[in-house]
Amino acid sequence: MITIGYFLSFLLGRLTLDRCLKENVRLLHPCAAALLALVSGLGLSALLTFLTFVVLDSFHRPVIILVNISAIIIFLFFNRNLYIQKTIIPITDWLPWTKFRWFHFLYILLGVFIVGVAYVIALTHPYGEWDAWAIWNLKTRFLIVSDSWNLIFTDLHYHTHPDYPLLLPFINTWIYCFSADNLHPIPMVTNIIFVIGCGGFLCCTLYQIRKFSFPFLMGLIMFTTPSYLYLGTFQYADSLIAFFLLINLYFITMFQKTKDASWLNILGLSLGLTAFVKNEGLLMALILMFVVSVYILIDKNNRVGKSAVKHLLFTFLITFIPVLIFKVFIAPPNDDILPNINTSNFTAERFQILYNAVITEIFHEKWCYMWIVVLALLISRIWRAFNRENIILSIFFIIYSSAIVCIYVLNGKADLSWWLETSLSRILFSLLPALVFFGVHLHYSKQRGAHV
Amino acid sequence: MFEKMIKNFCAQNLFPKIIIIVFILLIALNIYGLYGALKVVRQYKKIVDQQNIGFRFAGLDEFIKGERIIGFYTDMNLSQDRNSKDLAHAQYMLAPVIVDDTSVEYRYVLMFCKNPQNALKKMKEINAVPVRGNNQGVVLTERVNYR
Repeated sequence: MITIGYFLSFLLGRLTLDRCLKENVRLLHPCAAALLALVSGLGLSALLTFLTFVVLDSFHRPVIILVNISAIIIFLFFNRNLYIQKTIIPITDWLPWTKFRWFHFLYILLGVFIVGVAYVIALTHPYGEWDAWAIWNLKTRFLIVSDSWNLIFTDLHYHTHPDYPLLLPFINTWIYCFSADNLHPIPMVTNIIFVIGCGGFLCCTLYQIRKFSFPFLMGLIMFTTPSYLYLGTFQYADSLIAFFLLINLYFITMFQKTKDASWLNILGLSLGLTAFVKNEGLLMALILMFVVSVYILIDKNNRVGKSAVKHLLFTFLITFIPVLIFKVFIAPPNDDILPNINTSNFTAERFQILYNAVITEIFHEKWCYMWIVVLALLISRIWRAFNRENIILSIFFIIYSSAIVCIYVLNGKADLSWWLETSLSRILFSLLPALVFFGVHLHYSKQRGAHV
Repeated sequence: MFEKMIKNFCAQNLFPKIIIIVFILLIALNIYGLYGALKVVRQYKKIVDQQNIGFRFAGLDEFIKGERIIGFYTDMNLSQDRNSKDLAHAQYMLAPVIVDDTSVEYRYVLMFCKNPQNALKKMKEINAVPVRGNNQGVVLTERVNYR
């Protein structure tokens, strides 16, 4: 039954993609488009579910299903001209297997193997790791069984981080609308979708750059890294961050290559969803929003003009307003990061601990040389980082990594070694697909008109 | 023919080909690593069939239906990871009832003590009687004459 929920989200996501991108949707690899539709649809369904909670204060299964189906019908109505005039032909354009070739069997075999491995690994911890079940899945339980969802912001313990945005619990709550069984298989399936989807999306987009060559192989290396699949099945929200960051960067590069404002429409929606995943996602979304807006405003060769910023801002607000409602009116203020940041905490020793932890982590054998390959990829074309087509991504990585370093070094609340031990590998995991994409993009940005 | 192939290979730019060969080797290593991970999972499954969350606190939810918050008392240090996990286990099993680890001023108090004497002492102190317990150190208590 839960497949109905995922299918409805896929439909909603696909209709949104068609609405935002119109004929440009064909520039996406068909498999990448399908994965993107599923993920963005799950995000939108979660936002709609959140809005039903804001209005009704608790879980109302029929209302949530009705609201989501209504959204699909509304999008079908708005998209009708696209389908009637055959700008987009649903069956041909929506399904990834319409352009099937014999060698695609190899990809299917590899995909089945990776999904199988991820599933078997996930079965060893069906409830997820500690932070997953004690934070995200616990909140999902409260959302489903509690009379008032506000309990999770007022009376729960400090370690449940009541200020964290709730995209992942709301995705699982939405899917639970189609289940009468235990809750725990749903977060497991959702997480497998995100981790496989993220790897699959990366491989598809890199395959578009150059078939059977090093970009695609680079994607496959990341996708088959055991640690990537292991961390992905822990049911943390970092799998969502990894996927949303990757698609945001992809939309930005597509906008820069095509100079078409339609990519900004979908980027805006996606940034709002990123902000609702976790506080890190909020930081990422605000940095990207700022950098992209400044880039559009100061770029003199920009064909789309300043009105493109309006497109971006408008669609960003559609998905960001629920996040604002959540952060301003519902969730308590953050009590573990922001209030404890103080420049007096900065010491050379703390910086040294952070540096050592990063070096130890990226050279750890569990990553199977992945980070060495990624670093080699980035360093070997570092001089292209500030070219016009790479500058947004470069500035984003510089600002975001500086912010993370500042948070670690200046926050004196927790023991830094313990904190790094529990969170650094997750931060690196969430950045990995985006950095692989950026590294390959650096290599191919000047050489050829990749993607399009 | 083999010689010709090698000559052709060398005549072109070698570096990208070497990179591709290295990458294919890395993918093969990763797939081998995944196969290794599957073997570990199989061994793990022989010992523990499935992850078990909050089994110590299973079944207690039946006795506290209708309560919004219950108290939690432990003789262990909750600032340690291992012990705060036990509180999280209790909370996960008893949701949507809130387990308040900062107070025992509720009708029901969940006690989780390493030393049973500490639980007994606390029960006397707050005038509570046991409702349900197990040999894992868990006692659900109800305060007598609680308003």
